[in-house]
Amino acid sequence: MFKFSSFGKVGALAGAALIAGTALMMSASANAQTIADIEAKQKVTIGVLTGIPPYDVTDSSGKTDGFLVDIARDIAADIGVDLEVVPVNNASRAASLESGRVDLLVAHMTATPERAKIFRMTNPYGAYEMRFIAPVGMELKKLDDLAGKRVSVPKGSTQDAAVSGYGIDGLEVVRFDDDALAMQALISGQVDATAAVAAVANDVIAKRGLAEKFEVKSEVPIFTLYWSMAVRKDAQELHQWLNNFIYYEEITGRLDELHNKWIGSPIPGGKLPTF
Amino acid sequence: MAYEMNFAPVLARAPELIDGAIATIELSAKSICIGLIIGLGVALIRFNRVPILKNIAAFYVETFRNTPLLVQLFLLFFGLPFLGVRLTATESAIVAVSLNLGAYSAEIFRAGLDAIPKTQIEAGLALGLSRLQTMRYVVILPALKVIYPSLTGQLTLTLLGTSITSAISATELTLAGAKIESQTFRSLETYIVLAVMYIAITFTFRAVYTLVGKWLFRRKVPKASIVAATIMDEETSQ
Repeated sequence: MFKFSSFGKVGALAGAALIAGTALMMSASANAQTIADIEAKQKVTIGVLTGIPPYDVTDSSGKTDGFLVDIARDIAADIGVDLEVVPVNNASRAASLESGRVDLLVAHMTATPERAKIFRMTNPYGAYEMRFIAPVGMELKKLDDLAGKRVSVPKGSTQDAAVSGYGIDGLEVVRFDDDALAMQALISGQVDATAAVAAVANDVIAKRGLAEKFEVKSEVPIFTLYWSMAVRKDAQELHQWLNNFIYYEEITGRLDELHNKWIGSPIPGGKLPTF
Repeated sequence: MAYEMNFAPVLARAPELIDGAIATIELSAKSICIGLIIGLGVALIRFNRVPILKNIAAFYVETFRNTPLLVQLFLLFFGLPFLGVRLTATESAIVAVSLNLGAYSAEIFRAGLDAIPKTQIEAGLALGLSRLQTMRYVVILPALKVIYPSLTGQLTLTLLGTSITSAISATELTLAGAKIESQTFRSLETYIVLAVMYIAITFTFRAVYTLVGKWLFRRKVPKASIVAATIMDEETSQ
């Protein structure tokens, strides 16, 4: 999860391969690139990131639901067509869009310059905050409080780069293969703190009944990353329509309402930025 | 698609790689010493059929030979704290790798011990050697000589297996490499350098095994044969 830096390379490679491979197969009519195209086929196909609770859940029938699916529902309703949700993961999302399997992605993608070369990224529709999670009793009000502490991170993730770059004396960065192991290291007491997405950490703490032991230390921000939707490069009209949609969902309070429904709080980071 | 190799960003991190290599050597050396002691002890318990202990030994060997090292590491590192025992990543790594080697080498030792004919032991006792002397000179040393090549092969596997301990963030060569890889994006170059370093380490260890073997088995043949061989040598050289 959230290994944006490593994803960049893979994504670019997969993207390049798929552009080459599918360019011939893709005719203008096969892929909806404009609102009119989508209206004509009476269906919008949206790739939605899954596997990161509490942002998404899988219901008893195996169908995916959550914050992103609700946004996808609103998109389909506002265009006035049926919705097809395609679950994607970090590794598959770029390929899904590039190959034409989906019309757009609502998949927690941060608009990095690398990605903006391959796709059109919309204005952000939400954000997550990366924070330290530590025992309730541990004082953590400023970065220097981490001096001499051991902090677990997923290897090569954005939080690894951030925490490793602080240069705090005696801060030891302990690297694990994924987010779950980095969190488990904290729960087992092998490290003093871990760096994780606040909403995900809160969910783990609540589900495992650890509220008395661990908490998200909100006073020391690591960073806030905003998510953009992505469309193919030539889908200019759809891109602009989505920007309008996001603007309208934000000012009507709909985005906060949906975020509140699934995560239990409004979207963090204040007013959403626009590009 | 041509790939341009660029080792410079990886080699610029040489101090970290050398620290990692030293950590791997330390971790391997400690685990091998402890593991071999455990293995020999367990094999002797099973060979001499010590009541109760032999059942515990059998249970230990089967448990550790039939579970992956990675799972053993996770249980020690993440699980033991809930029982009130907190080992650091490096300590967990030494314990897990030692116990793993202990179980595997116990079976190798046992194969060697089983290869000693009963009559040889009886001969030792008949010569007036004590039970312990018989064990040492007539059973263990000859048994060790038989299984020495397969034992050192297992030790090489153990050394390479320490790379798995990077999963619990134990400081060693693979972890150092993974860190460099994630920061330089030079994956292929990093792992080529790691491979070369592992080869250098395993060859050094194997040289040590050869020297230890020469010292352990320095008394090659009984004196009588040496005399005979000397006579034959003299005859042929004339």
